[in-house]
Amino acid sequence: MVLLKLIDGISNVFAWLAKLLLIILVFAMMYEVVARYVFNSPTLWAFDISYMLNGTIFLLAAGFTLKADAHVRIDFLSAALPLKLQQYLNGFFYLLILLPIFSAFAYTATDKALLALNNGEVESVSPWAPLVWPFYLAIAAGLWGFSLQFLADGTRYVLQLKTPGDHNGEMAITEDTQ
Amino acid sequence: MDLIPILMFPALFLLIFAGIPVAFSLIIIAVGAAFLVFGDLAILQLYGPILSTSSNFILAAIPLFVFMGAILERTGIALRLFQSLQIWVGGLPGGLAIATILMCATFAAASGVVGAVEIVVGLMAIPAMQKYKYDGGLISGTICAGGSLGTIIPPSIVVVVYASIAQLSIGQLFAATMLPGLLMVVFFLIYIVVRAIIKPEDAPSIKSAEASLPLAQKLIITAKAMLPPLLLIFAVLGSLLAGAASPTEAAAVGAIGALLLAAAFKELNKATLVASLEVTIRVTAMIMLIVVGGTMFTSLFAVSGGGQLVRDMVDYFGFEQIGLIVFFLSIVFVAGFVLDWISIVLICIPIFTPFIKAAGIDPIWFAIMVMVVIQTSYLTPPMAPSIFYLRSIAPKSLTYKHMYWGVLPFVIMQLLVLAVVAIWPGTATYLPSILVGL
Repeated sequence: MVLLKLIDGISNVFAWLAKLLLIILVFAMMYEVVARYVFNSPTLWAFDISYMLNGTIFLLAAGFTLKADAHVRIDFLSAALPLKLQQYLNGFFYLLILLPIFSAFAYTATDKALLALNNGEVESVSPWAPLVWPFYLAIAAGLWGFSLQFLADGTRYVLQLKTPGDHNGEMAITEDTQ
Repeated sequence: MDLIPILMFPALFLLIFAGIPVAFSLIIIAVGAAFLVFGDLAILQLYGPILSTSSNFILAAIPLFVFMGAILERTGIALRLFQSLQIWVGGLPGGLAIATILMCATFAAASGVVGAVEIVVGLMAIPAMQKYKYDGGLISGTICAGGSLGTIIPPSIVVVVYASIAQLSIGQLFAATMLPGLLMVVFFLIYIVVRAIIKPEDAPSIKSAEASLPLAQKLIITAKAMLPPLLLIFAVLGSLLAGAASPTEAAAVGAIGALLLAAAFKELNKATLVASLEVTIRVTAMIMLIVVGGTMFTSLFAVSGGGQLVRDMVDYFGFEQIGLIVFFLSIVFVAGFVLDWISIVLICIPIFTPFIKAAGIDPIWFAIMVMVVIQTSYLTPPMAPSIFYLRSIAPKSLTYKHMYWGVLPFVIMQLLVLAVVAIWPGTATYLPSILVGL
């Protein structure tokens, strides 16, 4: 139980980082537009920064999105199954299939990040040529967080502490509006 | 080996209908197929789509457009807009429904998120229409159809994802959606007016309190309501279509603009900001992960011989251009009954694109037709996001029966727009051809 709470905590921290990076992304892009059209001196870094921030936001928020069960499900058929069966089904896929898959991805990502760090690898097509390891490391961190959340949520489904499809994708917008 | 691509689709649908999130279903099947094709290298191979999706410059526009919409939906812009529209069109047959569609169109043009538009507008328009005893089917249809406009009226996330998958210019694709989007609005309006004239009891006209105000005052109310969203639309689409900003930058301009507007009307506070950020990262992660899954799935489908499979099928039927278009659009339409738009784009478009190119079909024209068809997927049950959104905000007196029957005429209107675009490709291709710098 403490472990599950801890994992939720990690996802929340990652989500806060993602929100912060989103604000930075907005202002960085705005800065580029102003720099180019008002001061006539485009930045070297805007292009790389934009995709790196977006990729980082995506992976840091992936676990948080899983926790909110906001990865879209098409559950008009499965909703007719007995609740317990739905929970076991999701628990099975989360724990025994998705957890190993994403751990393997996270492992690969960590490997790539360490390799990039050791070789001082830089982005080859960009004129700015930034070091890539911080971005690779962010991807790895996001994937590890995502894997952990599969462990937490899979366990919750098996223990019947969570119901699949309680929130449905973008539907979450509704709660915030009302 | 040829068995793999054939089995991938039924296996995918089995998982999806078992209620496993779409993105995960795509990834699971792709990983399974990758182990059969690549053996131990599977994970390493499939790490590619994760990295390439995360590094995709075009997709960086998604969080910014979503954020812009999330801020806008929390401001009073929508309410003021709805009230001012009522002043002008409330007295017409079906006036409230007309105001609702116009409102959705404006909001769709100021934001890239589909669900947001429908929920914001629905929360205001449903009580108003119920008060005047509008027919439940018409209420449901109007809200759902209006909500679906977000897919075709730029800036639309659908366009962003489509462009990145089919490797088309976002600017051109945005320009191409403008006329068909406008056409869609006009067709919806025609349907509403005609129905209100034939059966006035379904959509009585109203007398809004402000309608008797002096003209100058009406204009002031309208200006205050209309100018902010129009400015925003102008800033985003203008900078994009003039070639002055990349989609990502235009989206950032829109996000900053939305923040400034909210601040100007004193509607920006910490709670709004945090809630908007939270929705944005959730929607972004959700969309991006489906892009990852879709890319994995379709690349495995191609590697394991799926491309050849589809080629054989197309050869077998001996399709010419028109046959090919009809065949592909039918697949998209049928898929729309059970899948959401992003899965459709991610699964179908990479498979279709080579054939469209080979057959010499204008990819922009084809893209617009696909997007019109995708718009129907928002309304066609059982997987009808617009109906889910409506259900989440509608009172009990609006039943599923109202909703399912109510959206039907609007689906027909969408198919009519499809016919127009199909017969006159210029509706899609003319604007991109005259706008330079894209």
